[in-house]
Amino acid sequence: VRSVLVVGAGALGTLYGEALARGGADVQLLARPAHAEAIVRAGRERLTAVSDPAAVRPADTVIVMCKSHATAAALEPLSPRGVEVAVSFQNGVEKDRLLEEWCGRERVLGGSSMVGATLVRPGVVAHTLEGVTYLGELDGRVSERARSLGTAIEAGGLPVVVTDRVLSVEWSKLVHAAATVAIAALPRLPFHRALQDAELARVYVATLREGAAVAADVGVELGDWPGMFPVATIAAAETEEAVELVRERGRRMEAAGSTDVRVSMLVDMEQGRPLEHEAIHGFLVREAERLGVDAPLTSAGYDLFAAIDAARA
Amino acid sequence: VRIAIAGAGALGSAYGTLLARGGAEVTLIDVWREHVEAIDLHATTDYAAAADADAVIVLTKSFATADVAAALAPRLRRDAIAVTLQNGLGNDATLAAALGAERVVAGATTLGAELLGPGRVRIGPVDASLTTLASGPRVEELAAALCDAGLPVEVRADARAVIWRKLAMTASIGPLCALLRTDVATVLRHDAARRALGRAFDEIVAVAATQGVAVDADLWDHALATWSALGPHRPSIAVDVEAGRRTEIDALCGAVARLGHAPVNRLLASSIRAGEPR
Repeated sequence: VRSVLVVGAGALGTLYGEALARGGADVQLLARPAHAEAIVRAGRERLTAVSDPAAVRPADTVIVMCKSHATAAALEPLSPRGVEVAVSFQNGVEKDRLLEEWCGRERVLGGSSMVGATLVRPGVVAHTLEGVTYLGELDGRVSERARSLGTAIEAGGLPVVVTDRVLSVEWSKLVHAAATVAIAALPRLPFHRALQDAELARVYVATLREGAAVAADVGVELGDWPGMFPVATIAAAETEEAVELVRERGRRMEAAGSTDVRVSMLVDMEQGRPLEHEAIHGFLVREAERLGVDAPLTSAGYDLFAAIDAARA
Repeated sequence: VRIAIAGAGALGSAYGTLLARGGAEVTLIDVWREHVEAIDLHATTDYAAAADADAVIVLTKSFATADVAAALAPRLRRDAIAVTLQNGLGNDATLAAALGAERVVAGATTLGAELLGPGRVRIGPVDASLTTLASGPRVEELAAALCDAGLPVEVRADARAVIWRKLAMTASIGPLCALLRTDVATVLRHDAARRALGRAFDEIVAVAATQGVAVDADLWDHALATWSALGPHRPSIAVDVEAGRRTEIDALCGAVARLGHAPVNRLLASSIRAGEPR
């Protein structure tokens, strides 16, 4: 990994860009103007930024980090020429297909990030949540290129796990996200409170099971991945036991003082930004319909988030 | 006829005012002392006042019905009736569990009213309203008192169709406005919001059918026309949610979701209830 382009470098994309630059790669961020200008002004070593897609220089590695609904438009003006590896850490699993359409399936790696970051002000990112970054080939091979990208990210201080089951990671995160936002974003609650509420914990479990059924039908098995909720265990447990596992996670968050975690969908709602419901619920609902799987709560969540998204001021 | 009204909020105060004007002997009972003291009718915070009543009209918020039932049980005369005109499902069952089904009358009202402050209520158009009562002992007597008060009344063998009709219209738009932190006009203006509204509404109608209650086919059109006329109005449940007050969501979407397949109602109920003070 010599040169990296981060497309849609907001908080998390910038964090990865900074890590890769620290690790020795030449990194260019494609970002909003104010952020890009602030990065340039700061004169960081091996880290630069532009806001104009026409000013992007060729890179061997592309990381896509914009909001999922902005992906197609962000990639459209960019040439895939010279790109050896492209990976996205966005929500959902459709992101991989969008990348394939842009640069061809053979160049795409699967990926999922458990890291949290927020933009403090243009040019300045806070690393708010330590977490693992998962990387792997979509077909489950173990490859040198996945390992070398992992090494490059780790050289900048972010832990990476290269896995032969990256689709399981992506689906586990997606299914968890659909259940999580239904209980934390719709009621506009801090995450630890939503998890502890008995009825919301039931909604989480029921929604998670709908997603697990869709995943099973496409041939992906959920997993208890480190850094994530043990979604495979929760989906497979007896209902009462599963609900108790969820509520216990909330109690433990509170005991650990994690009482200010707001899921990103809720932050988007509160700031009047476009929501990612298409990449999360929309994708699951369409897959459920295609496969003939019953997913009533996922579908209801989709309708309600679509309503919130449409009616925002 | 002596009528006690349990719950002197906007509607309770409106019914009390109108019934007293019509010549009934009215006592309002409410826990809000400042309001009770400011009302220029006979009003009290003491449920002992229900002992004299021929009929008690229950108009508290639905989450208070169990407390009202417990307060009435030792005091209500054997031959007196308790009539619920409250929002939502299950109020009649809660009263019946404490008082016996033979003394409980289910009903509904379309009267609008707004509490302006202690002792002051604004009453909506009375002529355009309709009070529905299920038939039963002493109901004719109460219906006559309501008529004398100028309130249009219908007595039906079964009030459930009216109750579900009202539920479909209130438990869909109100909670959705509350969830979206918006008003009726905004919901109607956006296709996606209108689609969610339609799903919530259809779920209620479908659950009604599983309960043996057929809701008229033209209700959706009627609801749309009614809502359109409201304009940028914020339903009271949306105002309550934004103010952090407890709502009747459990007797609305919550009750629907417990009775049948209603995932949109379930999410509306779980979302709104979880944020409320207990």
